Amino acid sequence: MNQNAIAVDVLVRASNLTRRVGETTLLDDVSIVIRSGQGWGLTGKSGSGKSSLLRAVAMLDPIDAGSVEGFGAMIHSEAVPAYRRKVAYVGQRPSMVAGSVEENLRLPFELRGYSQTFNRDAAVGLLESLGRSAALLDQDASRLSGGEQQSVSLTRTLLAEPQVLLLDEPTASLDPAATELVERVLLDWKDADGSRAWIWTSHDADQIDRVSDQVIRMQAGRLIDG
Amino acid sequence: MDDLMLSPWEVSVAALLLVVNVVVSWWLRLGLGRQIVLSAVRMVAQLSLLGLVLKQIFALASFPPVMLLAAAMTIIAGLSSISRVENRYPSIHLTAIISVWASSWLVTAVMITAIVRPTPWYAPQIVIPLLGMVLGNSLTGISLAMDRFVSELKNRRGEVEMRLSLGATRWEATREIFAASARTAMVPILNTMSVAGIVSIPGMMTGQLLAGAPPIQAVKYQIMIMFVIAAAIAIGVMIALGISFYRVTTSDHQLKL
Repeated sequence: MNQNAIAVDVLVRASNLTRRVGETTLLDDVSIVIRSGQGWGLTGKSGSGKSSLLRAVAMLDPIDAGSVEGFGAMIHSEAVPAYRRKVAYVGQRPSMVAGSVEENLRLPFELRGYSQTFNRDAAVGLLESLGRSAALLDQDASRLSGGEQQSVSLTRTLLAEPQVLLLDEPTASLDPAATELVERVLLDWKDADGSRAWIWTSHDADQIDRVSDQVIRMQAGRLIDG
Repeated sequence: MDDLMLSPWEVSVAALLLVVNVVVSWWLRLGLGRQIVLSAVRMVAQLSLLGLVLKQIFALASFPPVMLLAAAMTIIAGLSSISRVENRYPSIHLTAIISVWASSWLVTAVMITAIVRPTPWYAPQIVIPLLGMVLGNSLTGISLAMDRFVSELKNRRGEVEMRLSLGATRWEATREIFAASARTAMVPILNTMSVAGIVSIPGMMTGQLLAGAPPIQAVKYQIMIMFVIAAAIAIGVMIALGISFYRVTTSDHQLKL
């Protein structure tokens, strides 16, 4: 592989991320590179900084130091929304807006700068592969169970066609059967295109084994090798 | 008009009516007695002081003291607009003062240059009460708007961040909350306008009627002041929400709360 190919290979390069809130250092000079096809597994105790790292890579929180480079360009100000479309953060707790499931799934397509249109068949396909029926589309999103909301949240993110997923304990609130479906759908998603990648955080060591090809651990806001 | 002059004796007859409040409080054990007396004493002291200040400034009738009083009233209005706002961000005091100041001085300027046209233009007996009325109303609107905006952003943080994660700009992610806050802030003045003259005779009109103005004249003034107040609230709310928007979000499209 020549130098050029390696450069293109890097999707996201987050360098020296530091975030403090008051006296607490949530992230302490953390750097991470996400390459095409890579599946990072991120472990660590609660409060070790896993969520902070994912949120910082998604640029959701102001940082005190460091930088995020995405697809070969420094990401800041007006470039951030387009970057977040390609590098999608999926939070621990799914969040729904008032309205039907379909209205929730249409959200990303109503934003400025989106060229894709909502594909109902693709939405139904994804929901079904997550063990939900097409009837879910017409239901009130706020009345769904936590597990159903998580399925809708994942479907919404995947429909928007990101290239990198930042998955913050995506199966923490799911039972084993639902967890298995989510893992399968996400692994299929990643295998379908060699340029896709993720960081997946989990407390479950077995899950980390299944979904990652490289593992890193966090402790007190710092990265420690797996 | 001599029969409208009040003697201290007549004022104290009105004060006696306050005893009704104290009795009700005592009877129902509302525990309000102390507060009623305190509020009444404050009201008397504040208004007496205002009377003395106005007497001086009306007597001087020169530009600097009028402006000084107007500025002081504006700053107090700005600060009191956030005194009951529970959800704040660091520079919210400044936001409140700027939005109260800009909106009420703008509409008051329009009023005295294009509508009322007093001579001299800073005539205190015209400018001060008009400004006071505008301030009193715009501070309520600004207070409601900012409280709603910041508290909704905190309560619906997950939803806002979900939109941001999907690639929404900070405006796209907060627009609904911005609009809901503006609506909330406009509700009181819209209600006041829609019941004006039916449920009550508005304050300015009451004053003019008591002072012996012809009813049609008083009505015209009241309509004018309603428009002006509504405009001041709308402008103030937009400025307050606009500044707040930039204070609680970053140029990297993040929430900063």
